[in-house]
Amino acid sequence: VDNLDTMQRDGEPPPSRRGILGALGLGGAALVASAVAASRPAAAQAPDTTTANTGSAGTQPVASTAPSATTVATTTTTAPPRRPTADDLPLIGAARVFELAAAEVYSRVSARIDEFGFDDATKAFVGDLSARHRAYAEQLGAVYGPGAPFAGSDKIAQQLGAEAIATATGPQVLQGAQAVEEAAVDTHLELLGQIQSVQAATLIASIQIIEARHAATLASLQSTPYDASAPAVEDGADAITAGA
Amino acid sequence: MAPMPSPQERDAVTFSRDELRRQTRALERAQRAAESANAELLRYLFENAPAERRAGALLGGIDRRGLFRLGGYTVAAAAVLAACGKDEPEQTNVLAVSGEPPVFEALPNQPVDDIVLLRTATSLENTIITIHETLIQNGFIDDPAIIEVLRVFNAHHAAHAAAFADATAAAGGTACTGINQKMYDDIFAPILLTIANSPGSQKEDAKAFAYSMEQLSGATHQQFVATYSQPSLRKSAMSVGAVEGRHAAVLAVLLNPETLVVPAVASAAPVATTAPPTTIESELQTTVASATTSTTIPPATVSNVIVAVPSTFGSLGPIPLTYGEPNAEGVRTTTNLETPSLNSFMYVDEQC
Repeated sequence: VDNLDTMQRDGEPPPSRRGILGALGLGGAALVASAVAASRPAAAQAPDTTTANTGSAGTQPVASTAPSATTVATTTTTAPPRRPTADDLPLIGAARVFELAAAEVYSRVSARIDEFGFDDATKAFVGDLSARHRAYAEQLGAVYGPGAPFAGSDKIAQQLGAEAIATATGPQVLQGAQAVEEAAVDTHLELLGQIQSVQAATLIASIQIIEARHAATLASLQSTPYDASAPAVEDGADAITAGA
Repeated sequence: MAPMPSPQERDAVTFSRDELRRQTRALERAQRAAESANAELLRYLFENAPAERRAGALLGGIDRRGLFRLGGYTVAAAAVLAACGKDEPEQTNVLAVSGEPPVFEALPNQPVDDIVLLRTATSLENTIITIHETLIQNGFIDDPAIIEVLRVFNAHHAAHAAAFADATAAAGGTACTGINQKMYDDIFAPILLTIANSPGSQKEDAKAFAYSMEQLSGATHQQFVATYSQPSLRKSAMSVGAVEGRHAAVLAVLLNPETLVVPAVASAAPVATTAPPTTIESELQTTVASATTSTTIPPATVSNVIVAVPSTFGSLGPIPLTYGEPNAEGVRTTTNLETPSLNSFMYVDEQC
């Protein structure tokens, strides 16, 4: 796996979103939540009896990167469960593990925040990312309840460039942080497609939309133009979890 | 015990007929004597007595004024009795109506299901395209960099609308192809009109409006996650909602590169710390002319919260938009933009 030092040489144009994740070895990672042990028995609600009929509803390719097909489902009169089901717990736990790992990576960035030559606005923004991801982890833990995973995954932290931070330059930090945020957006998107609990889905949506703003802001700070190459929809292809 | 009388005995006359005849003759005599006295009295009243005495005697001692008083007492007593009465069924929450009350048709009970949400999402995407195009084509936004990204945004919004329309059809509904006319007419059109009529603040207002629409779009898809019945639909919503969040962030970085994130303690809307500069003509005139007031319109980023990352979690609260030129008191219009709800959903029987 390449690290932040090998991702971009100073002076080179920043790569695309997918290129960043590919360089990090995160691209296309499958969502596997089984590594997260659901250590408490399910606060189990009855599993949802609804059946989702997935199919592809075409999206118009307005970007050079064709947006993924949007899945649709038939409507149902069965109300979705509010609290997490037994099947939801590993998924929520995976999201929490990811956020704890991201917070760990960013804590190393924050420790060196004065060394990167950022202006005040960038410094305030990047320096705040660790606390934000820790807040996400805390909220996910609250939804999970007793027995929530306590620590982040070292493997994910390494994949997100935790070790490379020690020697990364300012532009490399921005690039690596964008990769982290892109992976977070896609990871949460995939979880949203599987989690039954309305409470958990609502929380994850509120996290994911801000992480997308993190990613876009980091891209703008690298002067990456927002043009026709920008995907029209998120596709979830860069999702990772502890099992990846 | 006495024996029971027979029916004949019960019907038999048990008093004297002679006595009955005597009493009848006595009553006739008394009646004739009384009639004679009344005739004398009436003759006196109509021929000799003054009018007041005549009226008083004929009406039982009630004169004309007394008659009015009696009428008033009657009405008041009727009201008291009506108020205290228990005979009528008790009516609550009934407003007094003069004349024929209007007849209202009860609103139909419309379910909010996935199809309604998908139609509403489609209509909002189409509405945002309309608004962005209006801002660009009327010259309200003339910054080439902003126009360029708005064109990209609109291409995305068109793709989003198409995707939601397809999802609507796949769910068995009729896809929405137009804008959300209710939201446009009630909220967005008045804002556009004010911006059009505010040349002094037009450019800044238009930027703030475009940013607010992207904010609103992202918040709408986030809000719908809680209502969709299927995880797959939630995923679809946020595959779009996250991109709307990117739009807002990109625009915010262009408009306000100095502040990328709102510190937690300063997330409230900015409050003006100084009064707007006012210039008043110095020479007093015998006829006082209206004071000439000049007010500096602050940039959109000062009047509105335009920040790449405005909060730690996605907010579903109202999005305040301040726009237009200040009135005589220096106050500008602020409208809270809110995500579609019961009165702005595109229900299945509505044209869209």
